[in-house]
Amino acid sequence: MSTSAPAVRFQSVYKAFIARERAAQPILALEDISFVANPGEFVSLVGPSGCGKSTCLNLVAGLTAPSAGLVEHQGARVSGVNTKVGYITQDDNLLPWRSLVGNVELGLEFRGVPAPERRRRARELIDVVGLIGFEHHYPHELSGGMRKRASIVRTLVYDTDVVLMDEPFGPLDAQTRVILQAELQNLWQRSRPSVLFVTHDLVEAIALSDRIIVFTNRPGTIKREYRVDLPRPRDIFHIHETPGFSDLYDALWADIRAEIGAAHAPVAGERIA
Amino acid sequence: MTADAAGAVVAGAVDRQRRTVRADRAIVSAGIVGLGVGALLFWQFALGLIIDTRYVSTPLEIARSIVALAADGSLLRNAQATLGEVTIGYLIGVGIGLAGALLLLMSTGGYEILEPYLLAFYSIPKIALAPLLTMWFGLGPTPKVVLAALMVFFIVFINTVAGVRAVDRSLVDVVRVMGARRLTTLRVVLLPAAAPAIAAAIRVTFARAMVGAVLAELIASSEGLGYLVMRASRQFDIASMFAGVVVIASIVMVVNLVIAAAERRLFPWASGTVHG
Ligand SMILES: Nc1ncnc2c1ncn2[C@@H]1O[C@H](COP(=O)(O)OP(=O)(O)O)[C@@H](O)[C@H]1O
Ligand SMILES: [Mg+2]
Repeated sequence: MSTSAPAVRFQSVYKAFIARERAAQPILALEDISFVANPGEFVSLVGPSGCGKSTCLNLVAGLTAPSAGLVEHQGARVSGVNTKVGYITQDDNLLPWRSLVGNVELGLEFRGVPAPERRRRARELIDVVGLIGFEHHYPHELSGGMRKRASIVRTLVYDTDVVLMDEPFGPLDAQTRVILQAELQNLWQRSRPSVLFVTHDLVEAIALSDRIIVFTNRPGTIKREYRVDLPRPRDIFHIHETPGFSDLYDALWADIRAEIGAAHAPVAGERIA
Repeated sequence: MTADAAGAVVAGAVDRQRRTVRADRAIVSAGIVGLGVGALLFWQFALGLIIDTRYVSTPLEIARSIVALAADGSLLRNAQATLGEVTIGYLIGVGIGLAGALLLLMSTGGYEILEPYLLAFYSIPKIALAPLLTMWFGLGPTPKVVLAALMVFFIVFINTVAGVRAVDRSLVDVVRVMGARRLTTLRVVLLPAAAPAIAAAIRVTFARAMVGAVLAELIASSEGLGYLVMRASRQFDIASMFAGVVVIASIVMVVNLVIAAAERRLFPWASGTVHG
């Protein structure tokens, strides 16, 4: 394994799902997907719903295997559950019977980190996201934004070199979203993992990413890649005023709109967007 | 409005709300007591006008019979015998149900292979086995213990399996990616998530264990509450038969209350529903 290996590499990956009913055709979710995420790079995956974005993350996490092609993490083929990556799902998936700090310590516990160090590292990150004072609260006693912060630091606390995030801010209100995007940028800059970030929100993708990969409708193929050259650190709250933002946004939106239009099999005269 | 005034308004509203809740509760409690007392009075004084009280006895006679049975020591002796059988059978049933479910869940495909046989076993009305068990194990406590255990085992088993299988797949996946191995996943996620369902099954099966033990006693026995009822029936002593039934029901109710209280303390976050 050379040090220059990409953090994540997809090479001609296909993924078909076999439906439960015997008669039904298998569903081709991904078709000939090839891309890399380099060390320390923040890569967003965008595209219409059902185009296989979550499936890509599941492949890197080893929760499902490709039907054909190769998925590599740090130069090694992913086979079986990949515990060397962090996975932040859309639902916060906190354990309801564990306090906030108990949840944040989970990954360290599984790695056999001794209790005092667990406590210290968990507290440090809980502090960064402003949740000190809530360590002993249970998930149902926290707001949606607090739970989301908890699920993010729970994954970052054990320092993986790749972090997968599946629409993490989807269910949040607009203000909380932007605040959490800014917090995520800070957290990411502390340890600089590679991030594969799935989102529906193009502004969010531009604000956070180094590169954006646009998927087509199912079967998902890669339609285009965009490099985001806006200087860092970025002012997330005023990202739309940054020079270069509008052009990028318009180009992305044109791509996505074409895909949404295709999915809806546009009727003559139908207005889209 | 000043802060004090606002506080007073809120306090007043809260007070009114509390009074309404208390009043509602008082009405319900009065209803419960009234219904029970009414039924007993009707039984005692009016039922005889409709049917022959020789066949149904009266609450006072039943109470007298309970006192008499208690006085000559037979109530305590027989209750102890039954309670012993029920407790042992219940613990065996719960233990095997839990252990069996966990073993099968840890294995690959084990549950799928055994499922049709378990469902076949479930369709046997267990009480129909009582005569067979008596033939095999004799008149002593063994058939009672076995039948009580059989009545409990399957309910605990199936609810443990169902509870663990109902746990959100993505929760399990996330924890596995976080680095939990199989046993750790079971301990950290699956069991706590299924705990309310398991606890509820463990609570409701005590009554079933009692049914199993008493039924086996009714078939053939020399002691126990079922024996007491059976003996009374041979002597056509209706009041003593009812006395036995009342004592059995009281034991089940008390134990249920105790288990339910323990359950609320252990699993405050959920109350489970029971299958089977
Ligand atoms: N476990 C599965 N079994 C069957 N089909 C699946 C499964 N997971 C995903 N799919 C299908 O694969 C396609 C891509 O799904 P997904 O990756 O979740 O899309 P996205 O995250 O882009 O919305 C969808 O059509 C979905 O129905
Ligand atoms: Mg998805």
